[in-house]
Amino acid sequence: MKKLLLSVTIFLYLVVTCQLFAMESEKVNIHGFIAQGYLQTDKNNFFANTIDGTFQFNELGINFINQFSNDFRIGMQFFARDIGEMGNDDIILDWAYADYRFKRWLGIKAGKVKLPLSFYSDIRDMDHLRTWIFLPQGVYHEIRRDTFATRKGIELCGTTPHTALGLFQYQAQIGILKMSINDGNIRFNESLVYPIYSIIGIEVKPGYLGRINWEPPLDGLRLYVTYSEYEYDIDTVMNVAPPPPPPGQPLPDLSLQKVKDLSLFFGAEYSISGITLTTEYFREDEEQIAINAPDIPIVERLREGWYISGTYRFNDWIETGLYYSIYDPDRESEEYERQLQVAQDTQSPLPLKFKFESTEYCATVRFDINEFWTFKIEAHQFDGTAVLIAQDQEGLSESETDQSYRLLAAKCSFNF
Amino acid sequence: MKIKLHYVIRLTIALVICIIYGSLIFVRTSEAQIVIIANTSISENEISKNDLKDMFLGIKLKWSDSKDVKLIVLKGTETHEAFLKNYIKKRPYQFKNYWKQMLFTGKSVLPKSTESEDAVLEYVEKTEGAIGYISAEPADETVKILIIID
Repeated sequence: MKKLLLSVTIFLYLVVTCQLFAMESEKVNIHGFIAQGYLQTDKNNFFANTIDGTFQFNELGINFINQFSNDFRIGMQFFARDIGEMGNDDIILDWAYADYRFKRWLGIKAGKVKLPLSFYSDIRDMDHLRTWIFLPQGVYHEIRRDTFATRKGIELCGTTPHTALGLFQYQAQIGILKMSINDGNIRFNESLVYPIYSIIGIEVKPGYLGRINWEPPLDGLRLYVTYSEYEYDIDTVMNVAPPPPPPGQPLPDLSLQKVKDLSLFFGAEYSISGITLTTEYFREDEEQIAINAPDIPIVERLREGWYISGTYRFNDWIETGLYYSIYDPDRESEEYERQLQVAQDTQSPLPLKFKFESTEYCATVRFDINEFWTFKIEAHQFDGTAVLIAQDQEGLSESETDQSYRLLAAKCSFNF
Repeated sequence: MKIKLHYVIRLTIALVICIIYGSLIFVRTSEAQIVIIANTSISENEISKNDLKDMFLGIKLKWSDSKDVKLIVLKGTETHEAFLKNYIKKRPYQFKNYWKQMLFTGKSVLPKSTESEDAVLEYVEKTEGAIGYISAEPADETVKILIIID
Protein backbone atom coordinates (compact mmCIF):
# COMPACT_ATOMS: atom_id res chain seq x y z
CA MET A 1 0.00 0.00 0.00
CA LYS A 2 2.81 2.38 0.93
CA LYS A 3 4.67 1.44 -2.24
CA LEU A 4 1.62 2.11 -4.34
CA LEU A 5 0.98 5.44 -2.64
CA LEU A 6 4.52 6.67 -3.18
CA SER A 7 4.58 5.49 -6.80
CA VAL A 8 1.24 7.12 -7.60
CA THR A 9 2.26 10.35 -5.89
CA ILE A 10 5.45 10.60 -7.89
CA PHE A 11 3.70 9.63 -11.15
CA LEU A 12 0.87 12.14 -10.68
CA TYR A 13 3.33 14.88 -9.90
CA LEU A 14 5.15 14.22 -13.16
CA VAL A 15 1.96 13.98 -15.21
CA VAL A 16 0.20 17.02 -13.80
CA THR A 17 3.16 19.35 -14.07
CA CYS A 18 4.05 18.14 -17.59
CA GLN A 19 7.56 19.36 -17.00
CA LEU A 20 10.53 17.64 -15.54
CA PHE A 21 11.69 20.01 -12.85
CA ALA A 22 12.24 19.73 -9.19
CA MET A 23 10.08 21.57 -6.74
CA GLU A 24 11.87 24.25 -4.81
CA SER A 25 10.11 26.71 -2.64
CA GLU A 26 11.87 29.34 -0.62
CA LYS A 27 12.25 26.91 2.21
CA VAL A 28 11.77 23.27 1.21
CA ASN A 29 13.58 21.61 -1.65
CA ILE A 30 12.02 18.43 -3.04
CA HIS A 31 13.92 16.10 -5.35
CA GLY A 32 13.70 12.44 -6.25
CA PHE A 33 14.56 9.60 -8.56
CA ILE A 34 13.12 6.45 -10.10
CA ALA A 35 15.09 3.62 -11.71
CA GLN A 36 13.89 0.45 -13.41
CA GLY A 37 16.20 -2.27 -14.63
CA TYR A 38 16.38 -5.71 -16.21
CA LEU A 39 18.74 -8.55 -15.29
CA GLN A 40 19.64 -11.75 -17.09
CA THR A 41 22.26 -14.39 -16.30
CA ASP A 42 23.25 -17.45 -18.29
CA LYS A 43 23.97 -19.50 -15.16
CA ASN A 44 23.11 -19.06 -11.47
CA ASN A 45 20.77 -16.52 -9.93
CA PHE A 46 22.30 -13.12 -9.19
CA PHE A 47 20.28 -11.98 -6.14
CA ALA A 48 17.01 -12.45 -8.05
CA ASN A 49 15.55 -14.98 -10.47
CA THR A 50 17.95 -13.75 -13.13
CA ILE A 51 18.43 -17.03 -14.95
CA ASP A 52 14.92 -16.57 -16.36
CA GLY A 53 15.40 -12.82 -16.81
CA THR A 54 13.75 -10.44 -14.38
CA PHE A 55 12.44 -6.90 -14.06
CA GLN A 56 12.46 -7.32 -10.27
CA PHE A 57 15.11 -4.63 -10.11
CA ASN A 58 14.12 -1.07 -9.26
CA GLU A 59 14.76 1.86 -6.94
CA LEU A 60 12.85 5.00 -6.12
CA GLY A 61 13.35 7.80 -3.68
CA ILE A 62 12.23 11.27 -2.72
CA ASN A 63 13.95 13.78 -0.46
CA PHE A 64 12.98 16.95 1.35
CA ILE A 65 15.57 19.47 2.53
CA ASN A 66 14.91 22.67 4.42
CA GLN A 67 18.00 24.87 4.37
CA PHE A 68 17.57 27.48 7.09
CA SER A 69 20.99 28.95 6.36
CA ASN A 70 24.23 27.80 4.74
CA ASP A 71 25.35 26.28 8.01
CA PHE A 72 22.09 24.69 9.18
CA ARG A 73 19.76 22.36 7.32
CA ILE A 74 17.38 19.51 8.05
CA GLY A 75 16.52 16.89 5.49
CA MET A 76 15.21 13.42 4.91
CA GLN A 77 15.01 10.92 2.08
CA PHE A 78 12.55 8.07 1.66
CA PHE A 79 13.72 5.15 -0.39
CA ALA A 80 12.45 1.85 -1.74
CA ARG A 81 14.15 -0.77 -3.84
CA ASP A 82 13.61 -4.31 -5.04
CA ILE A 83 16.03 -6.95 -6.22
CA GLY A 84 15.01 -10.53 -5.58
CA GLU A 85 14.14 -10.88 -1.92
CA MET A 86 15.95 -7.69 -0.94
CA GLY A 87 13.93 -4.56 -0.43
CA ASN A 88 10.60 -5.75 -1.86
CA ASP A 89 9.73 -2.09 -2.50
CA ASP A 90 9.29 -1.51 1.22
CA ILE A 91 9.56 2.22 1.84
CA ILE A 92 12.27 3.04 4.33
CA LEU A 93 13.68 6.20 5.78
CA ASP A 94 16.98 6.28 3.91
CA TRP A 95 18.47 9.23 5.78
CA ALA A 96 17.16 11.96 8.02
CA TYR A 97 19.35 14.32 9.92
CA ALA A 98 20.07 17.81 11.08
CA ASP A 99 23.36 19.28 9.87
CA TYR A 100 25.00 22.25 11.57
CA ARG A 101 28.40 23.73 10.74
CA PHE A 102 30.06 25.60 13.57
CA LYS A 103 33.23 26.26 11.61
CA ARG A 104 34.75 25.08 8.35
CA TRP A 105 36.68 22.51 10.37
CA LEU A 106 33.83 21.39 12.63
CA GLY A 107 30.29 20.39 11.80
CA ILE A 108 27.85 17.99 13.39
CA LYS A 109 25.15 15.77 11.96
CA ALA A 110 22.61 14.00 14.14
CA GLY A 111 20.00 11.49 13.10
CA LYS A 112 20.12 8.77 10.50
CA VAL A 113 23.28 9.49 8.50
CA LYS A 114 24.79 7.85 5.44
CA LEU A 115 27.80 5.60 5.98
CA PRO A 116 30.86 7.07 4.22
CA LEU A 117 32.82 3.83 3.96
CA SER A 118 34.14 4.30 0.42
CA PHE A 119 33.86 6.46 -2.70
CA TYR A 120 30.37 5.31 -3.63
CA SER A 121 28.94 3.90 -0.38
CA ASP A 122 26.77 6.91 0.41
CA ILE A 123 25.44 7.30 -3.15
CA ARG A 124 25.08 3.67 -4.23
CA ASP A 125 21.29 3.83 -3.96
CA MET A 126 21.16 6.55 -6.63
CA ASP A 127 21.78 4.99 -10.04
CA HIS A 128 22.11 8.35 -11.82
CA LEU A 129 25.11 9.37 -9.69
CA ARG A 130 27.50 6.72 -10.99
CA THR A 131 28.67 5.17 -14.25
CA TRP A 132 27.84 1.54 -13.43
CA ILE A 133 24.60 -0.27 -12.81
CA PHE A 134 26.41 -2.59 -10.39
CA LEU A 135 29.41 -1.28 -8.56
CA PRO A 136 32.42 -3.63 -8.42
CA GLN A 137 31.36 -6.55 -6.24
CA GLY A 138 34.88 -6.88 -4.85
CA VAL A 139 34.26 -3.83 -2.68
CA TYR A 140 30.52 -3.16 -3.10
CA HIS A 141 28.96 -6.56 -2.46
CA GLU A 142 25.33 -6.11 -3.43
CA ILE A 143 23.98 -8.41 -0.74
CA ARG A 144 25.40 -6.22 2.01
CA ARG A 145 24.24 -2.92 0.56
CA ASP A 146 21.29 -2.30 2.87
CA THR A 147 23.33 -3.03 6.00
CA PHE A 148 26.12 -0.61 5.16
CA ALA A 149 23.91 2.26 4.02
CA THR A 150 23.10 4.27 7.13
CA ARG A 151 23.69 4.56 10.83
CA LYS A 152 21.61 6.16 13.56
CA GLY A 153 23.93 8.35 15.51
CA ILE A 154 26.14 11.38 15.36
CA GLU A 155 28.79 12.46 12.90
CA LEU A 156 31.47 15.08 13.31
CA CYS A 157 32.98 16.39 10.09
CA GLY A 158 35.11 19.18 8.78
CA THR A 159 37.55 20.47 6.20
CA THR A 160 41.02 21.89 6.74
CA PRO A 161 42.28 25.06 5.09
CA HIS A 162 44.30 24.65 1.91
CA THR A 163 47.97 23.98 2.61
CA ALA A 164 51.04 22.92 0.65
CA LEU A 165 49.86 19.33 1.20
CA GLY A 166 46.43 20.06 -0.26
CA LEU A 167 43.07 19.65 1.45
CA PHE A 168 41.98 17.23 4.16
CA GLN A 169 38.45 16.34 5.20
CA TYR A 170 37.43 14.12 8.08
CA GLN A 171 34.30 12.28 9.18
CA ALA A 172 33.85 10.50 12.52
CA GLN A 173 30.67 8.63 13.34
CA ILE A 174 29.30 6.75 16.32
CA GLY A 175 25.96 5.02 16.40
CA ILE A 176 24.06 1.89 15.48
CA LEU A 177 23.89 0.29 12.05
CA LYS A 178 20.44 -0.48 10.75
CA MET A 179 20.25 -4.26 10.66
CA SER A 180 17.35 -6.69 10.68
CA ILE A 181 17.05 -10.42 10.14
CA ASN A 182 15.82 -9.75 6.60
CA ASP A 183 18.92 -7.72 5.68
CA GLY A 184 21.23 -8.90 2.97
CA ASN A 185 24.15 -9.07 5.38
CA ILE A 186 22.26 -11.52 7.58
CA ARG A 187 21.26 -13.63 4.56
CA PHE A 188 24.92 -13.61 3.57
CA ASN A 189 25.93 -14.77 7.05
CA GLU A 190 23.40 -17.60 6.78
CA SER A 191 24.67 -18.41 3.30
CA LEU A 192 28.17 -19.07 4.62
CA VAL A 193 26.90 -21.97 6.72
CA TYR A 194 23.82 -22.79 4.66
CA PRO A 195 21.72 -24.67 5.56
CA ILE A 196 22.93 -25.26 9.11
CA TYR A 197 21.08 -22.45 10.87
CA SER A 198 18.72 -19.54 10.34
CA ILE A 199 19.00 -16.23 12.14
CA ILE A 200 15.80 -15.34 13.95
CA GLY A 201 16.84 -12.37 16.07
CA ILE A 202 19.45 -9.64 16.09
CA GLU A 203 20.66 -6.98 18.50
CA VAL A 204 23.07 -4.39 17.14
CA LYS A 205 25.61 -2.76 19.43
CA PRO A 206 27.00 0.76 18.94
CA GLY A 207 29.82 0.98 16.45
CA TYR A 208 31.99 3.71 15.04
CA LEU A 209 33.74 4.86 11.90
CA GLY A 210 36.50 7.28 10.99
CA ARG A 211 37.41 8.54 7.54
CA ILE A 212 40.06 10.89 6.16
CA ASN A 213 39.80 12.32 2.62
CA TRP A 214 42.88 13.87 1.03
CA GLU A 215 43.04 16.03 -2.06
CA PRO A 216 46.74 16.56 -2.80
CA PRO A 217 47.86 19.65 -4.74
CA LEU A 218 47.43 17.78 -8.04
CA ASP A 219 44.20 18.57 -9.83
CA GLY A 220 41.95 15.56 -10.26
CA LEU A 221 43.53 13.37 -7.58
CA ARG A 222 41.76 12.32 -4.39
CA LEU A 223 42.39 9.60 -1.82
CA TYR A 224 40.75 8.32 1.35
CA VAL A 225 41.11 5.82 4.16
CA THR A 226 38.25 4.56 6.36
CA TYR A 227 38.22 2.42 9.50
CA SER A 228 35.00 0.91 10.83
CA GLU A 229 34.01 -1.29 13.76
CA TYR A 230 30.63 -2.76 14.61
CA GLU A 231 29.21 -5.67 16.58
CA TYR A 232 25.93 -7.52 16.82
CA ASP A 233 24.41 -10.53 18.59
CA ILE A 234 22.28 -13.04 16.72
CA ASP A 235 19.76 -15.65 17.84
CA THR A 236 19.78 -18.73 15.66
CA VAL A 237 17.70 -21.85 15.16
CA MET A 238 19.27 -25.00 13.79
CA ASN A 239 17.90 -26.31 10.50
CA VAL A 240 19.96 -29.49 10.38
CA ALA A 241 21.85 -31.52 12.92
CA PRO A 242 25.29 -29.97 13.56
CA PRO A 243 28.44 -32.04 13.20
CA PRO A 244 28.64 -34.60 16.02
CA PRO A 245 30.74 -33.43 18.99
CA PRO A 246 33.73 -35.42 20.23
CA PRO A 247 32.74 -38.42 22.35
CA GLY A 248 31.58 -37.55 25.85
CA GLN A 249 30.90 -33.93 25.06
CA PRO A 250 27.41 -32.37 24.89
CA LEU A 251 25.91 -30.96 21.74
CA PRO A 252 27.10 -27.35 21.49
CA ASP A 253 24.51 -24.59 21.99
CA LEU A 254 24.80 -22.30 18.94
CA SER A 255 21.58 -20.41 19.62
CA LEU A 256 23.28 -17.16 20.65
CA GLN A 257 26.30 -15.82 18.78
CA LYS A 258 28.28 -12.62 18.74
CA VAL A 259 29.75 -11.14 15.56
CA LYS A 260 32.53 -8.55 15.69
CA ASP A 261 33.63 -6.80 12.55
CA LEU A 262 36.61 -4.55 11.79
CA SER A 263 36.89 -3.09 8.31
CA LEU A 264 39.48 -1.00 6.49
CA PHE A 265 38.92 0.77 3.16
CA PHE A 266 41.44 2.58 0.92
CA GLY A 267 40.74 4.37 -2.32
CA ALA A 268 42.37 6.55 -4.94
CA GLU A 269 40.90 8.32 -7.93
CA TYR A 270 42.46 10.42 -10.69
CA SER A 271 40.52 12.36 -13.30
CA ILE A 272 41.93 14.09 -16.35
CA SER A 273 40.47 15.04 -19.71
CA GLY A 274 37.27 13.06 -19.31
CA ILE A 275 39.06 9.95 -18.07
CA THR A 276 38.64 8.78 -14.49
CA LEU A 277 40.80 6.01 -13.06
CA THR A 278 39.73 4.57 -9.72
CA THR A 279 40.94 1.84 -7.43
CA GLU A 280 39.63 0.77 -4.03
CA TYR A 281 40.59 -1.94 -1.57
CA PHE A 282 38.83 -3.27 1.48
CA ARG A 283 39.75 -5.70 4.22
CA GLU A 284 37.29 -7.07 6.77
CA ASP A 285 38.22 -9.12 9.84
CA GLU A 286 35.21 -10.82 11.36
CA GLU A 287 34.91 -12.98 14.48
CA GLN A 288 31.88 -15.09 15.24
CA ILE A 289 31.63 -16.42 18.77
CA ALA A 290 29.11 -18.93 20.18
CA ILE A 291 28.32 -17.24 23.48
CA ASN A 292 26.82 -20.32 25.15
CA ALA A 293 29.43 -22.73 23.83
CA PRO A 294 32.86 -21.48 24.89
CA ASP A 295 34.47 -24.73 23.75
CA ILE A 296 33.48 -24.04 20.17
CA PRO A 297 36.42 -22.37 18.40
CA ILE A 298 35.94 -18.75 17.40
CA VAL A 299 35.22 -18.53 13.70
CA GLU A 300 37.58 -16.00 12.15
CA ARG A 301 36.92 -14.75 8.66
CA LEU A 302 39.11 -12.51 6.60
CA ARG A 303 37.52 -10.93 3.57
CA GLU A 304 39.38 -8.85 1.04
CA GLY A 305 38.40 -7.25 -2.18
CA TRP A 306 39.63 -4.67 -4.62
CA TYR A 307 39.01 -3.28 -8.06
CA ILE A 308 40.45 -1.02 -10.70
CA SER A 309 38.24 0.88 -13.08
CA GLY A 310 38.42 3.38 -15.89
CA THR A 311 35.66 5.54 -17.30
CA TYR A 312 35.69 7.88 -20.26
CA ARG A 313 33.18 10.64 -20.93
CA PHE A 314 32.96 11.22 -24.70
CA ASN A 315 30.53 14.11 -24.56
CA ASP A 316 27.51 15.34 -22.62
CA TRP A 317 25.45 12.29 -23.38
CA ILE A 318 27.69 9.20 -23.55
CA GLU A 319 30.13 7.65 -21.14
CA THR A 320 31.80 4.24 -21.11
CA GLY A 321 33.54 2.27 -18.40
CA LEU A 322 35.51 -0.87 -17.67
CA TYR A 323 36.44 -2.50 -14.39
CA TYR A 324 38.18 -5.56 -13.01
CA SER A 325 37.27 -6.67 -9.50
CA ILE A 326 38.25 -9.43 -7.10
CA TYR A 327 36.31 -10.56 -4.04
CA ASP A 328 38.01 -13.07 -1.81
CA PRO A 329 35.97 -13.79 1.28
CA ASP A 330 38.00 -16.65 2.70
CA ARG A 331 41.64 -15.94 2.22
CA GLU A 332 42.81 -18.12 5.09
CA SER A 333 43.00 -21.71 3.92
CA GLU A 334 41.99 -23.07 7.33
CA GLU A 335 38.63 -21.32 7.12
CA TYR A 336 38.24 -22.47 3.53
CA GLU A 337 38.82 -26.05 4.58
CA ARG A 338 36.42 -25.65 7.50
CA GLN A 339 33.68 -24.33 5.20
CA LEU A 340 34.17 -27.28 2.88
CA GLN A 341 33.96 -29.65 5.85
CA VAL A 342 30.72 -28.00 6.99
CA ALA A 343 29.27 -28.41 3.51
CA GLN A 344 30.24 -32.06 3.40
CA ASP A 345 28.84 -32.77 6.88
CA THR A 346 25.49 -31.24 6.01
CA GLN A 347 25.46 -33.06 2.67
CA SER A 348 24.59 -29.83 0.93
CA PRO A 349 25.61 -30.05 -2.71
CA LEU A 350 25.50 -26.36 -3.43
CA PRO A 351 28.45 -24.96 -1.46
CA LEU A 352 30.76 -27.68 -2.74
CA LYS A 353 30.33 -26.42 -6.27
CA PHE A 354 31.22 -22.84 -5.39
CA LYS A 355 34.68 -21.43 -5.13
CA PHE A 356 35.24 -19.05 -2.27
CA GLU A 357 36.30 -16.12 -4.42
CA SER A 358 34.98 -14.15 -7.32
CA THR A 359 36.67 -12.28 -10.14
CA GLU A 360 34.60 -9.91 -12.21
CA TYR A 361 35.00 -8.07 -15.48
CA CYS A 362 32.53 -5.38 -16.45
CA ALA A 363 31.95 -3.12 -19.43
CA THR A 364 29.27 -0.47 -19.40
CA VAL A 365 27.82 2.28 -21.55
CA ARG A 366 25.85 5.15 -20.07
CA PHE A 367 23.62 7.44 -22.11
CA ASP A 368 22.52 10.75 -20.58
CA ILE A 369 19.48 11.39 -22.75
CA ASN A 370 18.98 14.75 -21.07
CA GLU A 371 19.57 16.31 -17.69
CA PHE A 372 16.97 14.03 -16.11
CA TRP A 373 17.01 10.72 -18.02
CA THR A 374 19.79 8.15 -18.02
CA PHE A 375 20.00 4.75 -19.69
CA LYS A 376 22.73 2.20 -19.06
CA ILE A 377 23.59 -1.19 -20.42
CA GLU A 378 26.38 -3.35 -19.09
CA ALA A 379 27.86 -6.82 -19.24
CA HIS A 380 29.60 -8.75 -16.49
CA GLN A 381 31.74 -11.86 -16.62
CA PHE A 382 32.16 -13.63 -13.27
CA ASP A 383 34.54 -16.44 -12.38
CA GLY A 384 33.80 -17.82 -8.94
CA THR A 385 30.57 -17.52 -7.07
CA ALA A 386 31.57 -16.05 -3.71
CA VAL A 387 29.27 -13.04 -4.15
CA LEU A 388 26.21 -15.23 -4.72
CA ILE A 389 23.81 -16.44 -2.08
CA ALA A 390 23.42 -20.20 -1.74
CA GLN A 391 19.72 -19.85 -0.88
CA ASP A 392 19.07 -18.12 -4.22
CA GLN A 393 20.34 -21.18 -6.11
CA GLU A 394 17.75 -23.52 -4.59
CA GLY A 395 15.69 -25.18 -7.28
CA LEU A 396 18.30 -24.76 -10.01
CA SER A 397 19.42 -27.89 -11.78
CA GLU A 398 23.05 -28.93 -11.97
CA SER A 399 23.30 -27.61 -15.52
CA GLU A 400 22.00 -24.19 -14.44
CA THR A 401 24.79 -23.54 -11.94
CA ASP A 402 28.42 -22.99 -12.76
CA GLN A 403 31.60 -21.40 -11.48
CA SER A 404 31.62 -19.02 -14.45
CA TYR A 405 28.61 -17.02 -15.47
CA ARG A 406 27.62 -13.86 -17.29
CA LEU A 407 25.23 -11.11 -16.32
CA LEU A 408 23.51 -8.63 -18.63
CA ALA A 409 22.03 -5.59 -16.95
CA ALA A 410 20.06 -2.69 -18.40
CA LYS A 411 18.62 0.22 -16.46
CA CYS A 412 16.72 3.41 -17.07
CA SER A 413 16.63 6.10 -14.41
CA PHE A 414 14.99 9.45 -13.99
CA ASN A 415 15.91 12.11 -11.45
CA PHE A 416 14.43 15.47 -10.69
CA MET B 1 43.51 -16.27 -5.99
CA LYS B 2 43.94 -17.07 -9.65
CA ILE B 3 44.44 -14.19 -12.00
CA LYS B 4 43.80 -14.78 -15.69
CA LEU B 5 46.73 -12.81 -16.94
CA HIS B 6 45.63 -12.55 -20.52
CA TYR B 7 42.40 -10.89 -19.42
CA VAL B 8 44.32 -8.40 -17.31
CA ILE B 9 46.62 -7.63 -20.20
CA ARG B 10 43.72 -7.05 -22.55
CA LEU B 11 42.01 -4.85 -19.99
CA THR B 12 45.17 -2.85 -19.48
CA ILE B 13 45.64 -2.37 -23.21
CA ALA B 14 42.06 -1.24 -23.52
CA LEU B 15 42.51 1.30 -20.73
CA VAL B 16 45.73 2.59 -22.26
CA ILE B 17 44.02 3.06 -25.59
CA CYS B 18 41.26 4.97 -23.86
CA ILE B 19 43.80 7.19 -22.11
CA ILE B 20 45.70 7.92 -25.32
CA TYR B 21 42.49 8.58 -27.19
CA GLY B 22 41.23 10.77 -24.46
CA SER B 23 44.39 12.81 -24.22
CA LEU B 24 44.46 13.37 -27.97
CA ILE B 25 40.91 14.34 -28.70
CA PHE B 26 40.43 17.03 -26.19
CA VAL B 27 41.41 19.58 -25.17
CA ARG B 28 39.96 22.86 -25.91
CA THR B 29 41.64 25.41 -23.78
CA SER B 30 38.88 27.57 -22.53
CA GLU B 31 39.80 31.03 -23.71
CA ALA B 32 36.54 32.73 -22.69
CA GLN B 33 37.02 35.70 -20.41
CA ILE B 34 35.66 35.18 -16.91
CA VAL B 35 34.59 38.00 -14.64
CA ILE B 36 33.72 37.11 -11.05
CA ILE B 37 30.97 39.34 -9.69
CA ALA B 38 29.50 39.66 -6.22
CA ASN B 39 26.80 41.54 -4.41
CA THR B 40 27.90 45.00 -3.28
CA SER B 41 27.03 44.13 0.34
CA ILE B 42 30.12 41.97 0.81
CA SER B 43 33.31 43.55 2.10
CA GLU B 44 35.82 41.61 -0.01
CA ASN B 45 37.32 43.19 -3.13
CA GLU B 46 39.42 40.18 -4.05
CA ILE B 47 39.14 36.44 -3.65
CA SER B 48 41.73 33.66 -3.74
CA LYS B 49 41.46 30.82 -6.22
CA ASN B 50 41.13 28.36 -3.34
CA ASP B 51 38.30 30.32 -1.74
CA LEU B 52 36.52 30.67 -5.08
CA LYS B 53 36.77 26.93 -5.67
CA ASP B 54 35.65 26.12 -2.14
CA MET B 55 32.63 28.40 -2.47
CA PHE B 56 31.45 26.79 -5.69
CA LEU B 57 31.94 23.33 -4.17
CA GLY B 58 29.94 24.17 -1.07
CA ILE B 59 32.95 23.95 1.25
CA LYS B 60 33.31 27.65 2.10
CA LEU B 61 29.86 28.73 3.23
CA LYS B 62 30.41 32.24 4.62
CA TRP B 63 32.01 35.51 3.63
CA SER B 64 34.45 37.14 6.06
CA ASP B 65 31.58 39.11 7.58
CA SER B 66 29.63 35.85 8.19
CA LYS B 67 27.08 36.49 5.44
CA ASP B 68 25.93 33.33 3.67
CA VAL B 69 27.53 32.70 0.29
CA LYS B 70 24.76 32.58 -2.31
CA LEU B 71 25.87 30.91 -5.51
CA ILE B 72 24.51 31.30 -9.00
CA VAL B 73 25.77 29.02 -11.74
CA LEU B 74 25.69 29.89 -15.43
CA LYS B 75 25.05 26.51 -17.02
CA GLY B 76 25.27 25.32 -20.61
CA THR B 77 27.57 28.07 -21.87
CA GLU B 78 31.20 28.42 -22.88
CA THR B 79 31.61 30.84 -19.98
CA HIS B 80 30.42 28.13 -17.58
CA GLU B 81 32.77 25.58 -19.09
CA ALA B 82 35.71 27.99 -18.94
CA PHE B 83 34.93 28.95 -15.34
CA LEU B 84 34.79 25.30 -14.27
CA LYS B 85 37.97 24.39 -16.12
CA ASN B 86 40.01 27.35 -14.89
CA TYR B 87 38.82 27.65 -11.30
CA ILE B 88 36.92 24.54 -10.18
CA LYS B 89 39.03 22.01 -12.12
CA LYS B 90 35.97 20.01 -13.16
CA ARG B 91 34.10 19.41 -16.37
CA PRO B 92 30.40 20.40 -16.53
CA TYR B 93 29.17 16.83 -16.06
CA GLN B 94 31.50 16.36 -13.08
CA PHE B 95 30.31 19.62 -11.52
CA LYS B 96 26.66 18.66 -12.05
CA ASN B 97 27.28 15.21 -10.61
CA TYR B 98 29.13 16.66 -7.62
CA TRP B 99 26.19 18.85 -6.67
CA LYS B 100 23.68 16.06 -7.21
CA GLN B 101 25.71 13.90 -4.86
CA MET B 102 25.58 16.69 -2.29
CA LEU B 103 21.82 16.97 -2.78
CA PHE B 104 20.92 13.29 -2.63
CA THR B 105 23.01 12.71 0.50
CA GLY B 106 21.50 15.70 2.26
CA LYS B 107 24.71 17.72 2.44
CA SER B 108 23.35 20.70 0.54
CA VAL B 109 20.68 22.02 -1.76
CA LEU B 110 21.53 22.78 -5.38
CA PRO B 111 22.95 26.20 -6.21
CA LYS B 112 20.72 28.48 -8.24
CA SER B 113 21.37 28.12 -11.96
CA THR B 114 20.47 29.93 -15.16
CA GLU B 115 21.50 30.03 -18.80
CA SER B 116 21.35 33.81 -19.02
CA GLU B 117 24.09 36.24 -18.03
CA ASP B 118 21.44 38.93 -17.53
CA ALA B 119 19.78 36.67 -14.98
CA VAL B 120 23.12 36.22 -13.24
CA LEU B 121 23.61 39.96 -13.05
CA GLU B 122 20.12 40.51 -11.72
CA TYR B 123 20.43 37.81 -9.06
CA VAL B 124 23.84 38.99 -7.87
CA GLU B 125 22.67 42.59 -7.75
CA LYS B 126 19.60 41.81 -5.69
CA THR B 127 20.81 39.02 -3.41
CA GLU B 128 22.90 39.70 -0.35
CA GLY B 129 26.02 37.55 -0.33
CA ALA B 130 25.61 36.43 -3.93
CA ILE B 131 28.51 35.50 -6.20
CA GLY B 132 28.48 34.52 -9.86
CA TYR B 133 30.46 34.76 -13.07
CA ILE B 134 29.90 36.31 -16.49
CA SER B 135 31.90 36.74 -19.68
CA ALA B 136 32.43 40.50 -19.66
CA GLU B 137 32.57 43.34 -17.20
CA PRO B 138 29.12 44.76 -16.49
CA ALA B 139 28.27 48.13 -17.91
CA ASP B 140 27.37 49.67 -14.57
CA GLU B 141 28.43 49.32 -10.94
CA THR B 142 25.36 47.55 -9.61
CA VAL B 143 27.60 44.56 -8.77
CA LYS B 144 31.15 44.30 -7.48
CA ILE B 145 33.93 42.76 -9.56
CA LEU B 146 36.19 40.53 -7.49
CA ILE B 147 39.87 40.32 -8.36
CA ILE B 148 41.23 36.78 -8.40
CA ILE B 149 44.45 36.29 -6.46
CA ASP B 150 46.55 33.16 -6.00
